[in-house]
Amino acid sequence: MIPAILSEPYLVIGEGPADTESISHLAMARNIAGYQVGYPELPVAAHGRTGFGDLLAALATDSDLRNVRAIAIAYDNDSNPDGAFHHVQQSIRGSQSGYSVPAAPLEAGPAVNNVPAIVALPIPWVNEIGCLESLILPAVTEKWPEVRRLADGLIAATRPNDLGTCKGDKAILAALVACVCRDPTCSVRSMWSRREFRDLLGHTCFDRVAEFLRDLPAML
Amino acid sequence: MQSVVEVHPNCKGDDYLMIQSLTVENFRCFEHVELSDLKRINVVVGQNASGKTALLESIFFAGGGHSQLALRMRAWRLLPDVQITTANPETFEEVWRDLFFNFDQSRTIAISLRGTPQNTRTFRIFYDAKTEHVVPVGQKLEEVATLTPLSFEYSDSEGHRSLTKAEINERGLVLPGPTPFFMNVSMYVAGIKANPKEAAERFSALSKKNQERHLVETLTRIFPFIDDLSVQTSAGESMVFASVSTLPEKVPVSLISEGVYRLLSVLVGIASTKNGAVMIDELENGFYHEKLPEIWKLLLEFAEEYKTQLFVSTHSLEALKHAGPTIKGNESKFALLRTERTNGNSSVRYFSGHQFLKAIEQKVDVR
Repeated sequence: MIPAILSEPYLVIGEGPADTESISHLAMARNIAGYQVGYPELPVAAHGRTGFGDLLAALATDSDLRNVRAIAIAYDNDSNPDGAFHHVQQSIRGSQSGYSVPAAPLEAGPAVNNVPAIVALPIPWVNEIGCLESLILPAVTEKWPEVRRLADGLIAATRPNDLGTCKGDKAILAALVACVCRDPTCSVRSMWSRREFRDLLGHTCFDRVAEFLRDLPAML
Repeated sequence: MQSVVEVHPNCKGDDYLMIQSLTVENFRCFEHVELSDLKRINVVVGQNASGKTALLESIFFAGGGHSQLALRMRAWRLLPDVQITTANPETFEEVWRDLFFNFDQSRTIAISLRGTPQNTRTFRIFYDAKTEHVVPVGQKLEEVATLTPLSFEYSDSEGHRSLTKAEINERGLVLPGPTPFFMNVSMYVAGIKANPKEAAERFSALSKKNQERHLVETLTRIFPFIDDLSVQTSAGESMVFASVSTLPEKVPVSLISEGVYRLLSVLVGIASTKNGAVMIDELENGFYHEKLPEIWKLLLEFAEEYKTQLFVSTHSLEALKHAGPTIKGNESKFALLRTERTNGNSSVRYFSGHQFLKAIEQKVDVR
C-alpha cells in the first residue's frame, strides 16, 4: 500500500501499517516535512520483511518515483539485528530493480539506474533486539507506570517462558493499550490517532528515529 | 493492416523473437530511443501524446518495407488524404513532415530492428540534397521549382541495400513500390476496425491449412453464443460469418459485437503473422472488462503457438491489472515499456516482467 501519488522526496516503507502509521505520526508530531509512507500489499504472507523486495520492484515502475530522493526501509531487528539487516539487503537485491544495496544500517547507498537511494532503518535501533512495540513501550511505561507493572505481572504469570523479547513487548503493549485506551481493541496502527497516546510521540524514546528522519536529506 | 507471410530459417527455437532490440532516431516524438531485451509480449503504457502509438508505428513502418505505409499511418492519425495533383514541392514535404522529430526534415529518420540475422534491418528516411532536381509546378513551362525526393533506404545485416525514392512529377505524387526488405508485421489501430475482407482472407488461409480449429474453438469458448465460424460472401465481399444458436442464419462477426470482431481480427492476425510481430494499439478497446483476463491468456497462448511477438499498448489500468494472472509464472515472456515525454522529447523506459507483475500485485499505477 503506497500513496497513489509519490510527491514527497522521502518515502519510508515499513513491514506493515503499524510501522508506517507510527513513523508518519512521529514525523508530523516533530514537524519533519518531506515524508510519505507505505508498506507491502497483501497477500498477508508477504507482510513483514519478506514483502520489501516485491514492493521495491513495484516502486521501480512508478513514474512518480522520479520525485523520490531516498527510500528508508524500516524493519524490525527482532532477535537478530545482523540477520534482519542481511535479509533487508537480500530483499533489495531480490527486487532486481537496480537499487544500490546499503553496506550497513543507516548508511545510504547512492541513487543509481533511475531509482532512489535506499537506507535501512532498524527498529528499535542499530544492534538493539526488538521491534516497533519495543520502541514504543518506554513512552507508554512512563505515562502509566502502575499499569505497566501490572501488565508485566500478568504476562509473567500467564506466559512465563514462551515469549521472547519481541513477542513479549507486543503482549505487554497490547495489554497496556487495552487497559488505558477508551477503545480496548485499539491497535498500534490506530493508537496515534487517539488523544490518549498522541503526546507520547514527544518522548525521548523516539528521538533517534526522529533525528534519522531529520538528518536523512543531509546523508544523501 | 499489412501482413506478408515469411518464414525464416532461424525461427525454430521456442525463444525465437523477431525483434530482440531496436533503435529509433528522429521518428515522430522520438529523437533517440534504444530498447533491448524485448520479450514475447511487450506492453506499452504512457500518458497521452507520450509516444505509445509512435513506438508501434516505428516497428510497423520499419518492418513493413514499404514507403506507402506512411500514408496508411496518416489515415490512422486522421490526417487528410494526400491529394497532390500537380508538382508542388511544398505539398510534397507536407506529406512527410509529421514523420520527422520536431517536424525537422533536415534530420534522418533511422529505425533499426535487430533479431536473428534475417530479422536485422535498418530503415532510413532522408532527403538527399544530391538528388535535387527541377520539376514543373504549373501549366506554364516557366513555372518550375526545385524538389528533393525523399529517400527510403533499407539495409540488412549482410550489407544488402534497397534505396527507393518518393517524388512528384507533373501528374502528382510518385511512390515507390514494396521492397524485398519486408518483415512479417501487422498493426491493429485503436478505433479503426480491421478490414473484414482482410480478416476473411487470413481466416481462409488458415482454414486451407486446417489450422482454423484452434481459433474457432477459442472464440466459441470465450463467447459461448457462437457455435462456429466460416467465410461467406456478402454483397460480393468475403467476410467471416458466425453461426449463432439463437439466430436462424449466419451473420457477419462484425455485426455481432465490436469486441468479438476485434478479438477475431487480432487472433487471426497473430496466427497469420507467424514468426513475425503484431502491434495492437489500445488493447482494451471493445472488450468487456470481465473478458480481459481471458484475453491476456489468449494473447500469450497464440503468441507462443505462432511464435509471434506482440507489442500491445493500453491506457487502461483495468487491462493492466487483469494481465497479472497471465504474467504470473510467465514473467520472462513479458516486458513493460513506458513512454515518457519531457521537454518535447519522448523516451521509453523498460521494466522486466518481474517488475511488471510486482507492480500489479502491489497496486502501483505503472502508466
